[in-house]
Amino acid sequence: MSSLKLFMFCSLLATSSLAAFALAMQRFRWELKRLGRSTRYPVKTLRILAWSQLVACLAIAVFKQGWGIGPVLFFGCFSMAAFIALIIANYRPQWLSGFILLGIVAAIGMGFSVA
Amino acid sequence: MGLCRPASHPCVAQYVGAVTAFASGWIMVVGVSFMSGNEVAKPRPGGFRPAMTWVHTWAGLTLGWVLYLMFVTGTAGYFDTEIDRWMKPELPLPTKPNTEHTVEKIVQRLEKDVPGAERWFITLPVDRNQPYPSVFWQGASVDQGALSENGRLTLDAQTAETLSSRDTGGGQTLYQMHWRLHYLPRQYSDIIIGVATLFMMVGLITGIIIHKKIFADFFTLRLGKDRRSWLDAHNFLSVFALPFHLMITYSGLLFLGFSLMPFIISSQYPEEGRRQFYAEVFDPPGMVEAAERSAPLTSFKPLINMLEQRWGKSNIQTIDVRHPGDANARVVFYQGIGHTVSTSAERLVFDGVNGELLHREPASASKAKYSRDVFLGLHEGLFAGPALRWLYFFSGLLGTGMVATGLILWSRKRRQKADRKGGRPSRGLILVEALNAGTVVGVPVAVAVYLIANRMLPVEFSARAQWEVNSFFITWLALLLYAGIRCRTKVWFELCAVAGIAFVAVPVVNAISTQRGLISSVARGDWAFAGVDIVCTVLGVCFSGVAWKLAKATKPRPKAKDRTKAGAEQ
Repeated sequence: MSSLKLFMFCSLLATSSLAAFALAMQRFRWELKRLGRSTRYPVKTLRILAWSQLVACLAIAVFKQGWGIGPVLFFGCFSMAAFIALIIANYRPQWLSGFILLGIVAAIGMGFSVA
Repeated sequence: MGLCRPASHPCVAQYVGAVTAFASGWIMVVGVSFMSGNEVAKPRPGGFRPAMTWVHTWAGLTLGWVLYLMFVTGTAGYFDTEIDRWMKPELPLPTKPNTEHTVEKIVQRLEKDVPGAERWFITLPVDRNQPYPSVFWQGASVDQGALSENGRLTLDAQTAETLSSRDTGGGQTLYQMHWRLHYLPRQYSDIIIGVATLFMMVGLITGIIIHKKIFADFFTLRLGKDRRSWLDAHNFLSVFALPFHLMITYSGLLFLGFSLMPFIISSQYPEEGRRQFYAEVFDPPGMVEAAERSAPLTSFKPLINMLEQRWGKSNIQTIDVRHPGDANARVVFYQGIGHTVSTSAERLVFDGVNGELLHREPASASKAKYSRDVFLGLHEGLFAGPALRWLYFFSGLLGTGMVATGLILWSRKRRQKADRKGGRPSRGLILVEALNAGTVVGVPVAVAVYLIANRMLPVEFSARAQWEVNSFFITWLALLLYAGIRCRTKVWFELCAVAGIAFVAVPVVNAISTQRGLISSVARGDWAFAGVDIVCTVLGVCFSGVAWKLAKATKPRPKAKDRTKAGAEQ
């Protein structure tokens, strides 16, 4: 598997995960309420989903690249994903749910080619 | 008076350097706090966290501008090879060579051109870090017709002919500014850089302690709230890449371990000194003196075949030949490090006459050294492919932003306080504001000027490599002075506009002065060359965008009275 595909996979999964963490926060739910959007998201499910995605991201990076390079890739993707999630959450919070879904779908799609 | 001879007493010199650096750091703290004319010279009462806040503030500020230079040049250093290639436009596109053919050609060339050499060091183009083969030699006999006693050449992988290019510091010199203060002797610059790194480590640890709501504030960015916005930016830039910041700082300290802790070596090697220590730790095993009897050098072909079966195709990074043509010749093969995080890999030592394997040294022969090599490898990221390299670059940018926002936060906090109180702001605040503007924008402008100087200085100018570096520091100094004399409300806008122009000028000057403009590089598929042009353009656009925003923000708004008057007239 090419390292570029793995990078894409990890980035998508990490972005989706951090978007889920942001959506689980009270502050952004208030912001969505202010924008007239639905805020009935199950917070606990979002947090479980976010943690699962992060663990999956780390596991796959380590499984494919080993304990040397895998964690480096994971933390790099995490930093980038956190930055993207910060921008979305603060400028376009209504996109957060879309990003979570998009990340999962794209990661699953990419996962087949990664595997 | 022995203290005045650093070359002969490196440990004493380093001790003096360390004391001087610490002393100058704390003089800076006391000086700025004294000039600030407020109570910041002592920690606020109230327990551990306020005390740590004080340490965080002053550890960050004291050598913050040196740290900023280190972060900017270190971040650029993740693309040092690409910048190197951009600064040597005469060099052709690198090709993937056949190791056996390349080594054969290089050995023939060395036998012909550097007879009698004590050592050949051949580096092969196995990965992105080494696009062309290169050789350096020591102790060649000029009487026997050698090009020079010692020398270094970049060669063509197919023909082993010399690839000549303009004299330039290239990406390597830019990268070296990350860990060497250019005009200072090494032992002093090591200490200053080491102390700055120590302060960074202190800043990171105290930052974690004082950040009470590290998870609750994770995505917090309150815009348009002056000091609060700068604090949020500083927090998220620090927290998002915290593992990277901790790794880069700790491994940076390991790089400088021998300089920061010189007495450990001198206590174990009182007679022989550092030379002996370095020889024991870093030299390949089983090296011997020359026998002073000539003997033909073994053929490299069977050795390369054997090593390619062991390490894989094109994975020999370096061949170190000691005493070529002597009966005691030794040939050391170094495995490529592209497959591992560590900066060291396996080494095999062969007899240089009969090709017999004498020693095998695994990368992890010494656990302590291997741990160090893994940290150094993590720091340098030499193993990183394109995607991972961009992630390193991105993390470096976050670190650069972290230092910059920390510096600005210090001055904004005190400026707000001074404005509230009214009257003249303190001299310390004015000094820090000037240093901030002149450094935060000045250093990136200096990088752009360094690249432009590479294209503008005449190719035949003998000291052009030195003047490229001079142009970097002259630009930085000029912008510092400008920031010192200019009105503070306008200086950021003006410097950002200059940065925007300077970065956009890089690809333009390149396209005018060479045949390798952005379009032609993209058409040729030369992404190292095109990448530098594209990144400079993006940086130019970003700086111009910031300048435009600042221009809008600093534009004086009409007073309420005038607005009412204008409305009444309509």
